[in-house]
Amino acid sequence: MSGAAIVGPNQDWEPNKESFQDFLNWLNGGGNSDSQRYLELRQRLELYFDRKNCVAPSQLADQTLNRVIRKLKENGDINGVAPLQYCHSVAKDVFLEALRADNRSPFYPPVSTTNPKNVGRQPVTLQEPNAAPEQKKKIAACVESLSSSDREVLVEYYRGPHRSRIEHRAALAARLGLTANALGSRAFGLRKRLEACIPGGLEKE
Amino acid sequence: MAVSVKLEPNDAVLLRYLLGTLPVDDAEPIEEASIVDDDLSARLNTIERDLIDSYVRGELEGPTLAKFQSWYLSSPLRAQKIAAAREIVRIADAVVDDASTHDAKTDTEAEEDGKSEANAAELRSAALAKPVALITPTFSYGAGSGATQSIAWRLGKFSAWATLGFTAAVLLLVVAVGFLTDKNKQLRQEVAQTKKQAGLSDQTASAGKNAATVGLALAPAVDNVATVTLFLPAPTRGASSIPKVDVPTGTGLVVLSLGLGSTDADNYRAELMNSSTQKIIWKSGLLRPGSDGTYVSVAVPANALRSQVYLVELTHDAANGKPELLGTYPFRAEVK
Repeated sequence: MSGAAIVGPNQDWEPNKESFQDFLNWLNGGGNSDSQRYLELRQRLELYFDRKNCVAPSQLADQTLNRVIRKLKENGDINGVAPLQYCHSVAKDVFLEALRADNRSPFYPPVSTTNPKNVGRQPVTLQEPNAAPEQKKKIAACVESLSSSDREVLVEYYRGPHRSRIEHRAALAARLGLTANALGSRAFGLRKRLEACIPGGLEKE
Repeated sequence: MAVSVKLEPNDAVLLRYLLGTLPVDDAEPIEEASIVDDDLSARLNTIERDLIDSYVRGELEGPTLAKFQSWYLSSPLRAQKIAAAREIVRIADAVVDDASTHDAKTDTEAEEDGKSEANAAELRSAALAKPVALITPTFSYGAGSGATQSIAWRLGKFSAWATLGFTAAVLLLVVAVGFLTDKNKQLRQEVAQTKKQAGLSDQTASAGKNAATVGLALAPAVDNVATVTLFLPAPTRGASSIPKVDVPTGTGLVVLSLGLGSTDADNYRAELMNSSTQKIIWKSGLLRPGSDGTYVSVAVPANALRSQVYLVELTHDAANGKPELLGTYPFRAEVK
């Protein structure tokens, strides 16, 4: 992704190992400091900016996290607000700063018949391609690398037209003894693994 | 620390958010929840993938399709998901297509399908992904083996297994019918007894008060309240269809008997959820296990039910005082 409009204070500041570890601890409520929660948060921030049609959601997410980490380093702690809540408030600031810098075009306009390729930015077409043959092979290999139970979840969860999904998902959740949310999260995790098999699918168009 | 109210928008609202049609003021709380709320974040991801899949399958139309093309696809990050979705949908639906069309497919056609190496790999993936229940006899996939042939053709090689499987299924059915008949009898006795007890303790209780907010399992049950009963086995991987309960007009209570499996707690609680919105529409009070400890009965007010699929979540209070989910029991209500 290029053409990012990163603005605002402290944008060049980068956390060191110690401050990052402190951040992980804070994010996990002082307990287990593994990076899983961090990865989830980063993904949510990226989606947050992307759903606002920001051109550089990934960089804006990193900028948000850097600011939070720096604040934590300066203050020693951030009290009175839950970690995710605080991250959201910083993300809002980052977004508003990007909005004020709109002369640097940080947003994708909607695709229209007069602008079918979103001119001047990433090439997006109204007719998206199928995956290339080598990408198909990669996906097939990814599917094969899943355990049989994971394959079952993936196929059962995503198969069939929209109208029939509710029922077979309920049946699948019952079979596996999972709540609908737990099943959805598991299926989504598997799907993400498959999606990762064909990064940049459209960029080759 | 500020306590925020948990946001529970319905799927249609989240869909509008994803399509960029939600007003800013309405979108903002969802944006916030998409970061701070694990459940809503997961729901958004699920709805987004369903939206993409619907687009790939050609199910979107009218304004939704137009908005998807103009707004959703305007972001490369989002548009990238389409190519992957095409493959995932193709692999997932291949199982359904294979099951429904294999009878008509000739071996020649199957061989033609396998000419491309890429196709062979994908077909093999699809076949491997087939639910275990549909491929009871397991077999290996050597180079150039079943990948190029239909599931039906391959299953033909295992006709003996199929016969054995059928016989086993009949035997299981006989055992299951016997078990359910016995369980039903037991249930009727339990319900009659509970009605009697409830009638003694509160003769004036009315069935009309048996609304969704009442927190007692069978409290308003009086002798003149019509009931229907349904046994829902403990959730296992073997269950494959959703049990159905007919609720005739005039029914006051639907008594669900939930199989407990290996659980042996002293008391339980149940919540009735709409399967599509995940919204809790009724909660029980404390429930005690049945006489033999293998099930727990919960009486749901019939007027809380519509003709649709519901989920019953059974919990018990763990040692730390927090409710622990023991299982989810789906069932379909048919209100007549």
